[in-house]
Amino acid sequence: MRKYVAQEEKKQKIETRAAVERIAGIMIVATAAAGLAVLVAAALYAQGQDRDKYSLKSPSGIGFSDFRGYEDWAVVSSASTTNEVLKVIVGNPTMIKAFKAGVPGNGQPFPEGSKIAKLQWKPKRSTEAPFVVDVPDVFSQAFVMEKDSKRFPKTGGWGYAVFNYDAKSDKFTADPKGLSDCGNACHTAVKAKDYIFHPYEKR
Amino acid sequence: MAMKGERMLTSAIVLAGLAVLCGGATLAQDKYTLKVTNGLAFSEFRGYEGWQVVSISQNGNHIAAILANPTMIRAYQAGVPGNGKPFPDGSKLAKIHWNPKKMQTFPAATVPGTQANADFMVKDSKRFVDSGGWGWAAFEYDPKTDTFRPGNQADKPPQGNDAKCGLACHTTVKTRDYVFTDYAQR
Repeated sequence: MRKYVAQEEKKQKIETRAAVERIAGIMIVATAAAGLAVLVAAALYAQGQDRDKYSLKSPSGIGFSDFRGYEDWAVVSSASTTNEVLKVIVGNPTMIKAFKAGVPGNGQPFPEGSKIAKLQWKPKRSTEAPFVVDVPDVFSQAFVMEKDSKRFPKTGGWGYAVFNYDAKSDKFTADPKGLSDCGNACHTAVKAKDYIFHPYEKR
Repeated sequence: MAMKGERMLTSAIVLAGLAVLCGGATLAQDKYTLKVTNGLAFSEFRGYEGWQVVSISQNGNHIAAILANPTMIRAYQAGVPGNGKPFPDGSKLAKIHWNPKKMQTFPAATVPGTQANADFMVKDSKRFVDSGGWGWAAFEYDPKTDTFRPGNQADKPPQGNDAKCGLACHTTVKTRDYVFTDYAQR
């Protein structure tokens, strides 16, 4: 009888140990899975941010995705207006190549597929620079133009759109009307320069 | 005889044309042959004209665009220097200064007029051991002659006969690996 009890205890111990090991195993797998889930979620979130931004469409029918990669385009020029906005104007490789070949000063128009973006920031006074200087604070807007003569025959071959950025929610939205309406109306002032205000600045 | 004269005239015109082309080629300055005495060569920053934008800035005197080579842009996008990590060796930064002017076609806007200078910094922790791993150089531009020259002590920023003149100012942002400019969100 005692022998039987002892045997039972031993058996139970083994079972308990096996159970503990099993739980530990599950814990490791669960931790790994949770870690992986966090990584995947983070990646999806980052992708989602990009997808959100590039799924936007302006009332003019132009998708933000037409300008995918503008974050890395080369500089055309820079500007500021009445100390309220700091701007940098960047162009896609097609547009930069045309600028360098002398367009629009040589009388030639920008080729199809030319894209240009004006990025705007609210300025702030630098607290670090050893001299007085205004630098970008929060990003506010991306003004975009693309050349497609078949798609935009009534506006000199150019399509215009504005996408606004809200720093608080870290979200872009397509500008509902006003600003994107200006496009052709304003740029007609520089029709002789194929509707582009900014020259490619020497550097 | 008339034919021969015509041919000679054609040859003369071709030769004159060639001479003008060659003369034009030698007249234009090759900025990439410039070098700061005991300092950096302009050619170490070859191609900066096409680099991506880090940020822009402006005060009453100048409009500036700050550009960086791909190595440095990648580091910025990975969180340097905010994440406490230094920029990797081979990082290069260019700051282009322009004299501002009112835009003729849209006077509310201030835009670049003539170029003022091009300032550079390059990271090489072995080469610039006594200046935080960075070397600096400034080249001044003269729009009248369309030429660059190495900066000197009278210029802003002052350029000494070395590669570490930038340290004096940039040391205030030592905790950000000596770089003032943040990568501006877009």
